[in-house]
Amino acid sequence: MHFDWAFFWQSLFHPSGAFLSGLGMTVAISVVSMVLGLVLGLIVALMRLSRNRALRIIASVYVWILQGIPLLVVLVVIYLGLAAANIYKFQDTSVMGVVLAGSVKAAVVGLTLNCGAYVSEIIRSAISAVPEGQTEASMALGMTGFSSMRWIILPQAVRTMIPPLGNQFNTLMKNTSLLSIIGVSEMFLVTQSISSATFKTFEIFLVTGVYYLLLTTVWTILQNEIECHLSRQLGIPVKSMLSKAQV
Amino acid sequence: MIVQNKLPAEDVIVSARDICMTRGDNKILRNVSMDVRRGEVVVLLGPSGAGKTSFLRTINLLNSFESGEMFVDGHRMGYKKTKAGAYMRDNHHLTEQRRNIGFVFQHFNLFPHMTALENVWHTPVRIMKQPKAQCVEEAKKLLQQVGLSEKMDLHPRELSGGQQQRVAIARALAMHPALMLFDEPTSALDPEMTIEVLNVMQHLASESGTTMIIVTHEIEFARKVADRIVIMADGQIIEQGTPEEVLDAPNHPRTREFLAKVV
Repeated sequence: MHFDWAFFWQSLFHPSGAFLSGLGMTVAISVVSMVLGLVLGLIVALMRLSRNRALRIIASVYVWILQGIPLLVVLVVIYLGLAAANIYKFQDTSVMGVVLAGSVKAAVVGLTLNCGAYVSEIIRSAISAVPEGQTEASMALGMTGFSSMRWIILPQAVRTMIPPLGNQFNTLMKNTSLLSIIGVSEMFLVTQSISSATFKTFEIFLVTGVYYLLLTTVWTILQNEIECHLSRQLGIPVKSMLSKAQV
Repeated sequence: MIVQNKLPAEDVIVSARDICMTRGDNKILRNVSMDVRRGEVVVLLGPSGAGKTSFLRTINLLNSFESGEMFVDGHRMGYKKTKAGAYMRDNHHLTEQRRNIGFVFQHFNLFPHMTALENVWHTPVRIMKQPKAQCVEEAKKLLQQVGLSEKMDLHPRELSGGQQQRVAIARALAMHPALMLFDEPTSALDPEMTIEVLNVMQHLASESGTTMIIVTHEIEFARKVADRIVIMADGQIIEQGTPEEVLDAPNHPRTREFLAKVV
């Protein structure tokens, strides 16, 4: 077996500028898509729970399609397919001197659509899990449906939905590696080009694996902190991972 | 649907007229009619399944009903009167009407993500947009009245059932309702906790003159607080009168049967 330890450590602790910008792209796209996916997911979840039949059907069809098609296919259809069919082409744009590649925009759209479908199901089940008595109590106090959702139901549902939403974000970060297929220069694509330039495939992809693991681990710790914070709001005594580490 | 009708008299706060409620093939309420005067304390008694809770919940339209009319404080619940005098269904108006009616649930239904104090001031501040400082002060006073000034900053899960129910009563009172409805407020409580909740309710009945309609199984409590006891069976009112009349000299055989079982 040949393993270039020097190259491995070098890549791990002193990654090249290209690699770091790939890492940055992975994080940026993940965060933006997750935020947009949360907004979309909340809207779709409320549509599915609404009394309006048309809204419910639209939302169900959306979830059915986006959960049933692989993300890779969605990305290719959105970026390459739409352009090839002359329907829509994601153009490069320049915002305050920074060039935003069309592929990046397509990536955010694709990831948001995919993420929104899963998020909507998470939010919907969390809302449904809030006891009926809570809605009744808020109605009896004279809240509108909106106020009840805003002040009573959602704040309680958030606590149930944080763990699955956190997992969804981890999945999303790992899924960004698929963006290499439409030419977004995120961590995976950068790794591929380093690999083909140096032929050190094993070493460099191991480094990339470590970085993905780092991202998901950091997020898991953050998620735990958020869960602890929300539990404290309910008066449940908890010890967080971070505060335990400080003791 | 447009219905015209004569308004109830001034001193009548609740006027239920021929309320019929069906769920599937079950007739839950059969033409229930009842007038409650301002300041009156009415206790609904009867065997389980008689429709007491169902009827109570129709008053603020937590339960919908198939036919009949419900007037509270001179207004038809769930309807708005047009200039022409016709009644039109209006859900937004219903939301406002409910603010005038306090409802206390069997299982308290406190908001678990808020402290006891927040539970009490939340609706006046967030929904009614009243000044916060003033509402918080009032919430503290209400919690003091129900004997919970020490527990204000605790969350519902840190309180006993009796304490939670007293917070729930304070939460309802914070809206200054013209009418308080109690749906088996002590059925989920241990005996010693039942007493603390009943004491609060008795105090409310005797001191504040609030109109109260109470569904309960506490016969002795009913005797003490009620101006009128209403006995229901099979979705109908079968007998009503003062506690002495109904409890000591019941007319209806079903009332006698019921009282023999519970006393």
